[in-house]
Parts: sequence; structure tokens; C-alpha cells
Amino acid sequence: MTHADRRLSAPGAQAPGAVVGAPPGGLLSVEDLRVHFTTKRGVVRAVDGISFDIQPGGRLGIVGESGSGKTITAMSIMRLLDPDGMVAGGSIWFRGRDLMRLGEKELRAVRGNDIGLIPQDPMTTLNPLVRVGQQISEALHAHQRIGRAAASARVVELLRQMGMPDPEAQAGAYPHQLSGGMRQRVLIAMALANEPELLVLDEPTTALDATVQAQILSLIRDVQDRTGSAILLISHDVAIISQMCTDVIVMYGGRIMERGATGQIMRDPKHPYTAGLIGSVPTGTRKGTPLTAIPGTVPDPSAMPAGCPFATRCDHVMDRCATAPPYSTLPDGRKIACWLHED
Amino acid sequence: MKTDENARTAADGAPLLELDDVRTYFGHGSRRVHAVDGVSVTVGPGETLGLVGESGCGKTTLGRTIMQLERATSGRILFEGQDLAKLRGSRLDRVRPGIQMVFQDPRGSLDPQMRVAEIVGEGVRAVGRPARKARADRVAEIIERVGLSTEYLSRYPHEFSGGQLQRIGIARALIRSPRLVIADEAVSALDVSVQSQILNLLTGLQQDLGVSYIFISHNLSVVEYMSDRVGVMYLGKIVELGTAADIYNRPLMPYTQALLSATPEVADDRAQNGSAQGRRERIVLRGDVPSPVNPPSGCRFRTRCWMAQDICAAEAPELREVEPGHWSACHFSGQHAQGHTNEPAEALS
Repeated sequence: MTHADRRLSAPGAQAPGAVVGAPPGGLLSVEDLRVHFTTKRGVVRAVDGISFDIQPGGRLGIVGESGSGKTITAMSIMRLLDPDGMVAGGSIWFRGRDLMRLGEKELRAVRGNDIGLIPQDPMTTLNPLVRVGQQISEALHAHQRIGRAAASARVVELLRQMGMPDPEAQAGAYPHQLSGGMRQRVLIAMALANEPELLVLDEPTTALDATVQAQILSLIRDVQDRTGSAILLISHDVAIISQMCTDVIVMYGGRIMERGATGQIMRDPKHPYTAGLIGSVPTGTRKGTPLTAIPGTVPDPSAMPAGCPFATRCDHVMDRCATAPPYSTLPDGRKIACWLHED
Repeated sequence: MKTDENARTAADGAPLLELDDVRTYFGHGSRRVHAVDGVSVTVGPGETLGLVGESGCGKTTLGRTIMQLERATSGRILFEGQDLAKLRGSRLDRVRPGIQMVFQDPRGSLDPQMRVAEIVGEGVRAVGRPARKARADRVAEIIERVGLSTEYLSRYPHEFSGGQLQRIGIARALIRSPRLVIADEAVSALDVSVQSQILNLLTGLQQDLGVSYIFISHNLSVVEYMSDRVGVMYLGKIVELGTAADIYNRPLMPYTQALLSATPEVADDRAQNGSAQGRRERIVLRGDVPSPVNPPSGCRFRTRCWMAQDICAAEAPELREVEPGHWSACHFSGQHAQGHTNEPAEALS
């Protein structure tokens, strides 16, 4: 049992898996999630009250810079937070069950079976001493009753679907014998082994070269078209999110700044942070013309401003920003947390 | 971006740096790595040459070879007319300050035990009190020029963010008044919002000081923005060279075309049929970059190229000038492609 689990099964918690109130619709629904980390410098509110949901087959992206809380959000959904992190509030509903109230055994049944995780760094996720085919078949055996021969056949089939040349031979390879792109394919195969309804991808191509990144993104698109599983894609790269996701959440300082249809937000960002983030991408800017730069740096997480976390770097800052702005819904349906858009 | 005309003039005038068939190999015999394998290119005064390519293409080794952190196996590296590859000892030391480097990881490249003033001033020798005073003034001036407060001079690296550390790294490079700065993935480790601050700083410094840059990055959009001319590298060779406009709007070499199409752009709902996705068809290359220990015969890209013919295995294509100022190392350049070929001849997966 992890630290976070102990906190969660504190007195007053319901029986594991019990449904409290009416479970929200959709595949995954995160409500007012708060994650705190205890550090030497005090409590860091890494995720500070975020809510969103994903429909079956949906494609949601979370974009943000380092320290925005995007990876912590993903890890909270998987209930895989580091021991010094704890979920301080909120709920995470998956198909009508609150994941925050599940015990470790029930969680293991969800992870890798209903929700698959594709992490950033394949080298540290794969066991270097076990052949990759064996690692994929372990994922199969963990969740289904499947014979050895059937499992091997399925492994080869999965690797073939991942576009690996000579999948029979590759299944016998150790991780170090594969390139970065091939290792990432193995992890995707592993995440897909039990046909999860939700795939959580945390910077899945950040460690890869451009041409290999294009291969993996195209593979993820194919997989999604074929299996219809929903994806939650975490990335620092606005361009990747804009290509892969229909909906986007822009995070900063542990909060959602803006959330809505990707195309709309990319064309016409309403939050000053979103506008700065998209303006920072140099594509199409003539040499010598200054880029839109957001001044300053991301504040130290243990010293986030009390109100809007972006206030210290925002060109439009006003007195009201000392109080956190509420989420409001704009006429085009997007949600935004900014006083500029409060009447 | 400059026009073809301007870029040609920049290259035609006396170059600041001229590389002539530079090769840098590591190891021996059958394990020999051909990291840089016959690169010839020039950099004019005040010009930015961008180098792009994927891991293992040799762009970092080429930068380190120019900087004399690696010694070239063969070839000439003419900097202000002197061949650095031939210089040794004190004669090399006299030329060296003219070329400075800014590294990817400022945290790893700045001594954590030194104060900012010492880090920045380290490269300047100062004997006697007046010289030390002059050095301190110069350090203060530079640190303000890179956008930091002189209050920071007595602090240590751990007190700074990544963007601030990169500014310190740039200050350290500038104090010796270099004519050429090699920036190797200088903004790659930074958050996007901070990255554009540093790019703006580098641009402003070039406009003020007239310094030349070799801007090395895997990030194509950053290289396009920063560069007058761009060299695309693959397995130790420059496979295409031209103005940024040539390379990005009319790529000739299939590898450049694939690399450009692999780079995602921000897509919004103005694209056709309202979809945020798939605004442009992708060329998805097969496989990975081959090992530089045993590169393919002939054209090194042929194992992943959708246009490869027999001749590509038999003969290595020369980097030749296909149109004025635009060079490509492909047997078929000039025959097939005038115009933007972002529609894949055949999509591979």
C-alpha cells in the first residue's frame, strides 16, 4: 500500500469501489482533483482543483510546461503517484467507479486492463533482463486466462500490428537490442495487450527523433481508429496536441487555464497564457522578427501566487488577479479561468 | 529570412569560417564511427548557419570539431584564414577565443561551485588591480546585456532557472568578443515560453554585435526562424544546403522532405473540412537511422528512401548546386522536384 492509498482509506472513506451519489457519465470523469506534495520547502499544490471528462473514444490532450501538473494528473488517474505525493481531494470516476476509493487489488485489475499507460521513457520502464515478448505476455497473463501458445501468438500479432519488422525474432530481443522507436512500439503493444478503453500517453514521443516520432504518432492514430479506445495525451508540444486531439486542456501552475475544442483554441486562444504558448512557436515567423515571449519563468511550485498562477507573467494582470478567477463558459463552449473574460 | 540574392552575397564574400572536406572519425578498424564524413560549408560574417538532423547525424560532432573539442581526422577548418586543424598549443589558444560555444544543458556546463561573476569572467585573464576592475565592469556590462540583474553576480548556479542559466552561459560565451558562436541545442532543454526569450536574445545580440552563429538543433521550426542558410545532415554528411526559404519551401532531397513532413505544425480549425487533424499528408519513413559505424554504401539515405534505384547503392551522390545557392546530394535532384513536394510520392509505413 502506498502512502497515498493509506490517506485515501482514512476513516470516513466508503467501502472500496462503492458508488457515492450518481456517477457522472462519460468514460473518465475527473472532479476537482487536488494533489499535494510534501517537500522540504512546504506543501506544493501540484494539481489544484482540476475537472474534466473523456467520452468513450475521445481524444483529449493536456498541454503545459514543466511544473504545470500535467504528468501528475496522468499519474493520479493511474494511482501511481510517488510516495510523497497525495491526493488531497476530488474524485476520478472511471466507468461509474471512483478510482480513488479502490483498493490496490482492484486497482491492479484496472491498470493495464481498462486503462493502459504509455510512459515517456521506454528504457526505464522495460525490464532490461527480460525479453520483450515475455514482458508483453506477462501483461496478458496478468489480466486474462490465456495459454502459453495463445499468448505467444498474440504477442507476435501485437508486435506485427505495431509495425515491427520480423515480429517473431523481435519478441526474443532484450530491450537494449532495440532502438528507441522500437522500444516505444513494445510499450504501446504492452499497453494495448488487453484492449483498454482508455490509453494514457505521457509525452510518448519526446525522447524520439522527428522521423521516428512521426512513425509513432501515426501508429497511435491507427490504433485508435482500429480499437476505438479513448486517449489522454500529455505533451509540452502544442503542435502535437493540435494534430492528435479534438479537445485540449491548457494547464499552468496546477490549474486549468483554458479548455475546449482544439481547433478553436489554436485559432483563437482566449487565455493570455494559451496565446503566449502558441505565439512562442516560431513556425512562420520571419527571421529577425521578435517572437512572442512570455516574460519571466514558471514560479517555484512551493511559491505559486495565491490568485491566478499566471499573474506574475501576464501582460494583462490587474488587481483582481490576486484572487483566483472562477471557471466560466464562453459562448463557443470553452471553459476559461481568467478575469478578462468575466463580466 | 534573406532572399537567395543576399545569401549568395553572404557566402561569396570572404567567409569567416570555411570547412573543406572535414572528417571526424572515432575508433579504429571495423568499429570506426564516421561521425562527420566529408563536410564542406562556409559561414559568412554576421550570418547564421543552421544545422539540422536527427541523433547520430554528426551535427554535434561537427560543432565540437570546429570548436577544436574534437580534432578533425582530415580536412581543413579555416577560421579567419587560419587552418585550425593544423594549429597546436599556444598558437591555437590565440585563435580560440574567436569561437565560443553555448551548450544544451546549462546546469551541467556551469560549475556549481563558482559564483556567476567568476563563471562569466573566468575566460578573461586579469593581472593587477586595474585589469581586475576592468574585467568586473565588463562582466557587469555583459550580464545586463543578456537580461540579468547585476545583483545576480554573487549568486551560485543552483539559484537560477534553466532560462536564466542559459543567459549566464551566453554571457560567458560573449565576454571574449567571439566572431562565431556555436549554439548546440541551446534552447532544447527549455520550456517553450522561455525558449522564445532566449531566441529573441540571440537575435538581438547578433543584430548589435554582428556575431555569426552556427545554430545546431533537431527542432526544425527553431532552425528555420534563426537561420539565413540551413544544412541538413544525415549520417555524417550535409545532404542539402540552401537558404532557409529554399530548404523549407522547396526541399530537393527526399530526406529533407520526409524530415519536414514529420515535423508537426500547430493545426487549427481553419483547415479544410473543419478537422484539426491531418492538414498535410505525411511521409512516414520506414525504420531508423542506420549505424554510423557501417553506413550504407552509396547514398546513405537509400535504405529509407522511397525513390531509391540501383544507382543509389552503387554511387554516393555528390552535394551539387541544383539551383543557385541550393545544393542537394541526390541523384534525382533537379530531375523530379522543382516545387514543394510535401505530397508523398508514396506513403510508407
